[in-house]
Amino acid sequence: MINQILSKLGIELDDKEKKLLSLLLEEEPVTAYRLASDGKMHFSYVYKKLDRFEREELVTYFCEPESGRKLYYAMPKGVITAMAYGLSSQRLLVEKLKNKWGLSELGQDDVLELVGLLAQVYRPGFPINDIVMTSYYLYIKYLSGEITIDIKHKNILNILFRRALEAFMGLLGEDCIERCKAEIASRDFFSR
Amino acid sequence: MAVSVSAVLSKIREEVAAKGSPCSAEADLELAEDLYLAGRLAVLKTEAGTKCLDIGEVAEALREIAAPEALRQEQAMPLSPPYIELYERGDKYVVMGVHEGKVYMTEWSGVLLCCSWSINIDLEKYKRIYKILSNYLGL
Repeated sequence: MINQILSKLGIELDDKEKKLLSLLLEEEPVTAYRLASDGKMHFSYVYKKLDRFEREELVTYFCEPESGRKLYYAMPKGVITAMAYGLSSQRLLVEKLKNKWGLSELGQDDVLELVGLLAQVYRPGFPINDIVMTSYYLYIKYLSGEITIDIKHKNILNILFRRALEAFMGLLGEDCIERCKAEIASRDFFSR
Repeated sequence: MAVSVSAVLSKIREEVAAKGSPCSAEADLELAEDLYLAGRLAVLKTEAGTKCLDIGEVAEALREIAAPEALRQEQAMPLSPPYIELYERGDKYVVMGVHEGKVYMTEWSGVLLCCSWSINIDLEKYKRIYKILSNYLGL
């Protein structure tokens, strides 16, 4: 199942790109300088590959507050790509996905099920790097009957959507979340 | 006064293809998909086989700029030549240049200057690298 996602994502990496993505996942957040040094690749070459990764939304960067250096890190799409290519241990990559999605309560199998589900529904423009928008997208598709969700996925998607809803309500303030927390937690959004 | 690393690599690729000898050198730095350095040798790997050519000081110059370390982000400033362009794609490019006796690296996207950083290459070394690469390109 997970290998199908590569064709769905439209991602094809050569051996050098796999090596670079693997190194980035190992060292993230990391500078292009460090990747070039540790990977024994010329900076120009590393930069070219990082530019491609950025355009494919596999990685992004932030500027280190003190020095302003660009620190690159993998986005969920990059981690899923690494999973599909087997670039690191599945356990490590699942942990990374949980952290990046903010879904610490999910187990390893749940995360893999979720990735498998996303592989099925993915199409260009799908907000795979934004778990809140992904949840919303899946819920809308579910309500409209465009996708059917089997029993084993319902529990995971309910956790996901509750988290997304809390994130949305958080925009209105902590008080708002506190008032509705119990109701959100008790409601199954994917119930049919 | 500007050299492009991409142009240097293209010329190396052409020269190794034309004048290189079959070899099995162990590469220690990847320059591009098919091009490597092994000491002073440029190593070109193609489906037809591997060829090597001694490119001397050009190899050393490329090594000197293989990993420019950004030390600190600086206010946007006008850079002076000589320029060494590390990367270019469409309207995005990364270039090294000089400002008040120090070497800086800047990243541009279209007309927007994204960032400038001071880097760990001193001016004299930078000028020497530029001279080697520009001579190689016959500029």
